[in-house]
Amino acid sequence: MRRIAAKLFNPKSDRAGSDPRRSRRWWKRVALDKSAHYTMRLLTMATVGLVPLIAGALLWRAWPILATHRLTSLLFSQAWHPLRGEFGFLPFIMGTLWVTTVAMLLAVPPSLLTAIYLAEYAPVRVQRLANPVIDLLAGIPSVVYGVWGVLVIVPLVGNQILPFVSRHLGALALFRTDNPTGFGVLAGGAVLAVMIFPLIIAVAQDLIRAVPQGLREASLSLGATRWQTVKHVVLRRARAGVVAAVVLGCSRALGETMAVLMVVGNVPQIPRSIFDAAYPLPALIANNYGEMMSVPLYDAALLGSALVLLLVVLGFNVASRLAVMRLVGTN
Amino acid sequence: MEATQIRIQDLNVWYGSQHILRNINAAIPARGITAIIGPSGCGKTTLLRSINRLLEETEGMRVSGQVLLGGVDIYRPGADVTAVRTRIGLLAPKPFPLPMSIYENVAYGPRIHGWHSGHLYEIVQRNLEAAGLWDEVKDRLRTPASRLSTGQQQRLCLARALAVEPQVLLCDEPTSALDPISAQGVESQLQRLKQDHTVVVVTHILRQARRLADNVMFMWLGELVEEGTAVQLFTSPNDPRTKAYLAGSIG
Ligand SMILES: Nc1ncnc2c1ncn2[C@@H]1O[C@H](COP(=O)(O)OP(=O)(O)OP(=O)(O)O)[C@@H](O)[C@H]1O
Ligand SMILES: [Mg+2]
Repeated sequence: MRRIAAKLFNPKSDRAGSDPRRSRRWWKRVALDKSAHYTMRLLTMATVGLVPLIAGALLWRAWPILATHRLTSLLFSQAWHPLRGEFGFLPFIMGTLWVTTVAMLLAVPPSLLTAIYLAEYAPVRVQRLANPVIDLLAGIPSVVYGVWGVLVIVPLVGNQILPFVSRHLGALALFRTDNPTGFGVLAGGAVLAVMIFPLIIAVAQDLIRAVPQGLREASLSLGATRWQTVKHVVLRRARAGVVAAVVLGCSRALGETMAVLMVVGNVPQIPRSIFDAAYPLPALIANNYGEMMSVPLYDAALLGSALVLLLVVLGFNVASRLAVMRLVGTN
Repeated sequence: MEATQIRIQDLNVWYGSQHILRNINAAIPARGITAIIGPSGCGKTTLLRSINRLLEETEGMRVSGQVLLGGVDIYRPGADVTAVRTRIGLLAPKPFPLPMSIYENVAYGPRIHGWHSGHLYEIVQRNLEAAGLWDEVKDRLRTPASRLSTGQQQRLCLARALAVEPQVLLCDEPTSALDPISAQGVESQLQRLKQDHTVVVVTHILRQARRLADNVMFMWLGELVEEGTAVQLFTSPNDPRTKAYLAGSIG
């Protein structure tokens, strides 16, 4: 029995069988240690393995369309006419990029400033009040944000912002539109921004807080102001973390479905202005999967767009991870 | 040597309801080295941090009383904290190199004050020399400061503190993280600095205090028990608690 166990548990490094002092208790401890190790390893590998598994399933189901259409025409064609067999993903890819970009522009500056304020300036009292509220925001279901967007943001965009902006900045293509409804890129981006706000604040705040107090004091002791200390020392030290927080928010924005779908207009076109309607990838899939399945290749096309979404998010994550690694390396 | 640089009057510090410093009154002479000794937890660090107003960075600390620098109270309403800290530098027990190069660490202070952008390099060199680090780093000024050894980092922090030209330098156990050789290096730099700076050193090492100090303050449970010249305090202490501490029977 012992000999089997000894073989199982790495016989070369611990020649346990030959040592009479090693008791049964010792064996039990080792067994527990090793089995804990292998269980955790298995679970980790299973989790990591999920990514290729999902990608593989999507690839398998999207194969019919990949086999019949050129990849370039799928990715770069604007024509989306399922009944005619034309499946161009470009409007949806562009819709995703537009909405995500607008959301990031709206969300990143205020949420980083909020995180800096809470981590560096706010008295404990304020932190104790603000942080639970921020956590609460993160927990609100996305459909609630969607409803709120329809009730508040869309009318606000349609009735206030759009007339105002087109009166003053209408000369710029970015602000010109023939869609007066308010459902569009800006509304989608605004709702998304509010949704990723708490995520960026929470993560960035934690990472800023992790900067050692001694470092702040070193800077303050030289007569630096608090803002100088934050800017030159704290943020510099925490910048990889801040980038990571923004990336996390961006990943979330890329994939968010429900709330965006409710306010973005869902017109398969390439948006030209922040007031145009858009149709992001997740909305395409959620709106149409399970319907019109009798149309040839439609099902494969939707799964192909899911694959594209997955690849966009993966590519984004890899790129940002490399960026974070470079930042850490230069520290 | 005799003029008083810092006068502490009725200084009290509380943390919540805990009374950490009790009615401290002391005079720290200009130039020379003043050592603060006393058992762990008696308030040496707290006293040091109250002299450059770093204490208020700890939320919950309350300070009352006065600290006069050249006759002016640094706690007066409207006092400019950054000016106070520029004139009174602090060297922490553990080195904290800023997340930038060796050069930038020393240039940091002059830069944030907007001084001498023309001859920064000379300032960096002069202060690294004053801290006894120049020869070791002159060929790698652009490498991150975090790559230096702990002893080198501590001397870098010294150079960084000197670069803003403080009148007073507060050192909290400046050699506690160092090996004997590096410690000796820092000690000899402090001895040179005392020619034209007022140096205050908190130390646990009585022999270090004997080696360095011109004046000594002995603290005990938040009180300043006794202060005097090193010779007087070490050879004939007045208070029985000082006697007992020096004899090694308390603390
Ligand atoms: N940040 C803090 N929060 C709460 N109490 C503190 C804090 N810093 C110091 N104290 C308290 O103040 C008292 C004095 O601490 P201080 O650090 O000044 O002692 P010290 O003489 O420097 O000790 P040591 O020789 O161990 O460094 C201690 O009782 C300590 O518990
Ligand atoms: Mg201390």
